Amino acid sequence: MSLLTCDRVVKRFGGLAALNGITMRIGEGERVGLIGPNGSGKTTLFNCITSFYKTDGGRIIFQGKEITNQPPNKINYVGINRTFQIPRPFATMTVHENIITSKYFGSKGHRVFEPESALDLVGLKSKSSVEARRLNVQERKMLDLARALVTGPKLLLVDEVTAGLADSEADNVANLLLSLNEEYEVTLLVVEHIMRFLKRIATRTYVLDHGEMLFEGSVEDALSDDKVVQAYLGEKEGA
Amino acid sequence: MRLNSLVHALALIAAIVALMSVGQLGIAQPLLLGIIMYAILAEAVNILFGFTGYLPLGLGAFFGVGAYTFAILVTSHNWDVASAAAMALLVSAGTGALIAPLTRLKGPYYGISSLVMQFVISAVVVNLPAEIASNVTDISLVRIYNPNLAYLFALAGFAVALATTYYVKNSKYGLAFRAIKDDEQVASMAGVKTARYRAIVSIIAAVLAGYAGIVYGWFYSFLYPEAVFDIAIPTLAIIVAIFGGLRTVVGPVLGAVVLYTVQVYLSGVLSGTYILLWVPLFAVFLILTVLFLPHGIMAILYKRFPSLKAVLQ
Repeated sequence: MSLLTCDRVVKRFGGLAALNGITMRIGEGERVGLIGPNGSGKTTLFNCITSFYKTDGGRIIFQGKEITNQPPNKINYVGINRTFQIPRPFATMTVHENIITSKYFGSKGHRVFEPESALDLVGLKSKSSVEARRLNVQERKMLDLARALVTGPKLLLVDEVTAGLADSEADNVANLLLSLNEEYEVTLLVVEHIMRFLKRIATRTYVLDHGEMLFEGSVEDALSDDKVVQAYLGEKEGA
Repeated sequence: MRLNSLVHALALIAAIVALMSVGQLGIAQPLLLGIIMYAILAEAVNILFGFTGYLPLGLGAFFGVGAYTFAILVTSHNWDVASAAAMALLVSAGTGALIAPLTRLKGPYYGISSLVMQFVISAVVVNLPAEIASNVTDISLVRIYNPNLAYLFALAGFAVALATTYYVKNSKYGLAFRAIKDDEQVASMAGVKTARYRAIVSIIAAVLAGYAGIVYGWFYSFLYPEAVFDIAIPTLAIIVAIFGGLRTVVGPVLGAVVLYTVQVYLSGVLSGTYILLWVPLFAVFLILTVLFLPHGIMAILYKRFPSLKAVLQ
């Protein structure tokens, strides 16, 4: 059965439809990619699922219950959490305080990580007492991830976690995400630009372009699909 | 460990309060009362601004609600001091809850709108119908005048204010407030019921500021709106809190000791036509503080005497 269903989700900014009726279905335990050119609506979809944006149409259903436009804390309680393309730690709080805030207030559901083991997992244990604003971008991304993990999410939305990473670092992150999925049964929806990374992580992928769902299928097929290639090359699509 | 830190906190608060209780003894009483009143207000600023990020330019709204509810109940309705004070605190809390939706606004927008709220509330107070309050523009509380008892009441509020800040600093409330300050959306994503905690912080600040208002009413026993709703009061409270050190328990107290004393001295020196010169002088002082001392005197003390940090938490 499907864990998350987006049913014709619409998000408009003024006259522009950033999401124009997006439908997607993610099963329990899956690892799904979400790709598309810049501005195609990937992060907007994440923001709609977690209610950072109010959707203008359609429904979002998690485990059979509608969660459309519920406040983010309720999204957290049902078992969804996320990371951010541009990391958003609580900047004036220490790494440890960031984590325990999420631990105190967040969901106590499914496979909860203890603060210490979450920090260990993402490699931030030695930075526990450092203020988050003193971390570098990669460390901030890992802090976002650890903060999500202590709530024991069933579904984790990962937004460009590898951007700016060296290959070896990206490999470590890929291994981490794979182990979360395989050992801890965390379902993953991953926005990613690096195809090599995506191929390792995702068993299938969605492709967005100009707020429309362009393609759904395996990563290999996506990369050889004419429409997808055109969208990435930035050519105007014929009608 | 937990019990230890509780005992420690209580001992610290008791020591500070005991130190201030010398004000019972005579000529220093008005000065010390002013310090205590501003320390209570500055702790309200500390919690609302220092921890949660809302600059309460209109903190005087709560101060005025506390002072006037107390005074009106005592004069127009013949309530005794204890019941009037209790009701004034309740009304302050209610005002805090009523104004809580303003905390949807951030940064300068909250500051300005809270200031507007203060003007609105002062207009409401001045225009209260005669059945509720007679002669609001010039209330005398001479019937209950008792500076020594008022001073004790102030001391009790001072202890409560310190304990509240200590608790906020060391509990999940502090985490929730700071998370909201840093990034409210992400705080919600982390599970914080942000609307609830924004309401809580508004009510805490309202009750503390309302308490300070009751202290003012009882001790001076003479109220008129231009004095009670003077924006110099919240302004000085904000400067005191920043100068002392936000997000510390003791900082606002030190700030009040230094700055209220200076203000009283300046008002004396600048008497007559120039008495209000202390306001621009303090404005310049605030700018210098923010530029050169953004973490207040507590930061300097901690740097100079690292062992203090363990004692003062």
